[in-house]
Amino acid sequence: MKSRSRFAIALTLAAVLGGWLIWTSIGGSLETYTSPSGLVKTSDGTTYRLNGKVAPGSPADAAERAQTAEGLRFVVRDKANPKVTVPVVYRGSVPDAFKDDREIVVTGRMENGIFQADRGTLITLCPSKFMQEQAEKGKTMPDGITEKGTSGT
Amino acid sequence: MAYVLIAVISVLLVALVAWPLLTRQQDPLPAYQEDDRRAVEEELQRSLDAIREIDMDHRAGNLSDEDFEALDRDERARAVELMRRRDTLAGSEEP
Amino acid sequence: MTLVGRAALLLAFAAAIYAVVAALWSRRTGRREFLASAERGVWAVFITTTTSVFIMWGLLLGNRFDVADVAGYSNLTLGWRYKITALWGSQAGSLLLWMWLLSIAAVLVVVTNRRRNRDLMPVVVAVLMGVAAFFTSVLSFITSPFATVSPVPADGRGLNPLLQNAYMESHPPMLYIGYVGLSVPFAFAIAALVTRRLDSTWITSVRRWTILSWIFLTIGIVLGSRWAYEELGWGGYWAWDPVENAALMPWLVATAFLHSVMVQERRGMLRIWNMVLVILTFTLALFGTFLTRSGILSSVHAFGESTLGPYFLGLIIVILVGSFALLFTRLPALRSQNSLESYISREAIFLYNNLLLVGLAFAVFWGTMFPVLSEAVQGEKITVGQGFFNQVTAPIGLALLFFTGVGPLISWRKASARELRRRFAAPLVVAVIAIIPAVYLAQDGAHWWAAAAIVLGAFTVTCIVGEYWRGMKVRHQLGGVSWPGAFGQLFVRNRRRFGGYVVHLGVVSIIVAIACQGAFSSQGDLALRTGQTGEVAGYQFTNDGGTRSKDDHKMSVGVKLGVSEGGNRFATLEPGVDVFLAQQQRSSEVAVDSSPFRDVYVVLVGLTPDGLARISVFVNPMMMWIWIGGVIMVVGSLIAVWPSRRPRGAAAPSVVGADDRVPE
Repeated sequence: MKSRSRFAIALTLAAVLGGWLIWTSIGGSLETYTSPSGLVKTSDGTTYRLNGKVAPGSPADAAERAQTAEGLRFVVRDKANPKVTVPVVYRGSVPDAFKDDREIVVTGRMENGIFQADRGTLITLCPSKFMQEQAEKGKTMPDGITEKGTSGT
Repeated sequence: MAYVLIAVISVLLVALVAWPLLTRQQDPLPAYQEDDRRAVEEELQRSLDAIREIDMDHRAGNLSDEDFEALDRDERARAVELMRRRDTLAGSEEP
Repeated sequence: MTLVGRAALLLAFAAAIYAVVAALWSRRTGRREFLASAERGVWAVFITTTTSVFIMWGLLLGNRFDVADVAGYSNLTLGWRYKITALWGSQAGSLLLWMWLLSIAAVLVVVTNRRRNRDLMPVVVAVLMGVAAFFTSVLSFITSPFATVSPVPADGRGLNPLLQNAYMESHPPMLYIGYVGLSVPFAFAIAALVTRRLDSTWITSVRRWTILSWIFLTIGIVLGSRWAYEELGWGGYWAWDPVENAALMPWLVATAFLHSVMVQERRGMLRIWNMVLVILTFTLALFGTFLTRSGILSSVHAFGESTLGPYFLGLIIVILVGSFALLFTRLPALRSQNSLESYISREAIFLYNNLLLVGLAFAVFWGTMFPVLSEAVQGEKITVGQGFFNQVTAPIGLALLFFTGVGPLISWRKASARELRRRFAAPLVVAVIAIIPAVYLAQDGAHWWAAAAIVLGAFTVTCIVGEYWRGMKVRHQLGGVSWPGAFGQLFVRNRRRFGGYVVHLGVVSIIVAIACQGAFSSQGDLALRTGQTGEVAGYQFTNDGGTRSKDDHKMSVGVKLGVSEGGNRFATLEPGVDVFLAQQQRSSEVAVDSSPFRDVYVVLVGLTPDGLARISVFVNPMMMWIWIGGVIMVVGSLIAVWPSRRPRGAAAPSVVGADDRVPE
């Protein structure tokens, strides 16, 4: 019985140690997910992960601008409520899929009404879904395959 | 055309699946004893491998003499026990 | 043909349901003809699923744009190879691939168990076909690959350019083979629990299937990282993306199982734990498919929101609750006779390694699911940054590296202090020597974990080499074989052990490379006009001029860069950017100069008409050793699973006599 209780103590110790490791590590890396609508209300220095769509009018040479000192300036609009927008300044690498209407996530914080993005945090979502967006814009497809048509439900 | 194809496929599949039921086909082998014997055989094989490995470890200097004696004794006892079980199983098969 | 395809899937669904019922009926009544019929039902599922897969390929190759998935993921100009690949570009198609692989696995199980495990088979067939029934019902009633559109478009939209490369052709099927393969161990575990045949009968089948699935998962994960490194153009290879984590979690738990199963074989311990691991591994594999397909987490390559989430979640919950309830009722039968004798023994080390691997899998799960959990609890979606994963993984990875070296040198049951001192003398000396360069590299402790990885890596490699050395010495002295012959004999005589050590060497290579890349990589951006030279991390880059070209599909720009170090020009790199016209999609073509100590990785960001090239440069130390380590791991595990040719009963050591010890 003695070895069993010792074993239990050892296991508990391991669990506590693991829990402590997770706890301390998670503390420093939490970022609240938010949309432009959620961001308008706050302007404090908390770090946010901003999720939304690139508003039309983003520069065609986005990747090049993001490397300059001024940075890439573009506007993110709310997915649900397209009227709400937030201007973003970003430096670093720009994913190939970045362009108007693409859904993105970028990390940073609000400063004077502008979302100052952290370097190299811009990601675009769902490259496999890009056909539907193309169809919405009607650029390449002559016909109207809508989302309803493709989902097959 | 498509419907004919589907119908043909369906009929063939039903025939494929139902065949053993119609012919009352039996499994050729008795279920339990064969598997029991194989399990013991495999475990015995692993035990013999372990004996060999312990010996190699001893020769390689990975095991002290007294550790080797203890491990080797126990593993051999296990192998003997497994052999006995194997022989019992083999015996029980004969009528 | 779409009608035939749909019908084939419906027939597969019906056959799967029939196989479940017939198999369970045969178990209940003991009428074996029903088991034979159920196994033919498995064949029927295989035949029908195969039919629908080939119909789908026919539709893709025949440019049948009236089919939604053909119109959405292929077009007239796509090469035939990518038309085949386009099968798993779509959601329904990838589920069809999953189902097809499952039917193949089930047929293999039926064929290889024709004469064995007969009393387990009813349950095995029922479990596998139950899963098959789930997938075929999803494919028939929720998201059909044969859905049609009207009006019929003149051309399809084409396959995402990011997916048009050899890695994407092979990476998803590899992962899926791994995921699907893990359903077989699960089925055997459930069968063992249901039939209460909990001796070692099921272990052999389960171990072999697990290790094969593990190999495919490993290949899939490494190929996926390689794809990210070469195609995505951000200089990295792993971003703790939910989909990457989804593959990593079952891999970690399967690794834990492959180690702890040895404890069960040798000492009869950890039997409950092993059951838990098998169940968890399969659940995590399903969870991986679910994560990729459900859209509940935003990911770099999630396939958009879909209606599948609730169904998968339901299946996972049913499987988890059912399996653990079943396991609970069988606990008394699983108790082991032996107990842990010492905390410094082989089985104890395996236990530590298991706790670390499962703990790491849990941490990854926690970090991946945190947004979902926090939204459910607090109403606010809070994500966990990459920092969390790196911070958790670093210490756990280092501890695993340590045990990788220590484990094989510690004997079963208990190790005496004198032996430990003797055996660890050389590795410790090497580790102490390695501290000198490591401290130099650590730069005031900022990169302490990279330094620790180097020291522990040196230690572990010495431990493993010592094992080979001692083994060879014995063979050499015993049989009078040559040294190379002795080396070869190690693998012939004890594939599992010495193949396993090869895998460990691969692991060391990968962990050290990851640590070095993470700590010592450097990055810089340059803007160069033709003829200008700039410097990043000690390397000079000269713009030798840009190129532009255009064809029917794409517009390409590129730039010639001379790379030199200290005036010595050693490479010319040509990074470029393609813009695919059909999709208006950019695709960076990165250029890499690889050498054993570092990769110079260059991305062309843009090229203005007047010749100004903007480039991003990444210098990644030791990158090559991640890929080499992956290859070593796969080779080692193949050595370990390769069937041994030992003639039955031959060369068995005499068990009773103590005087003639193993004269081989």
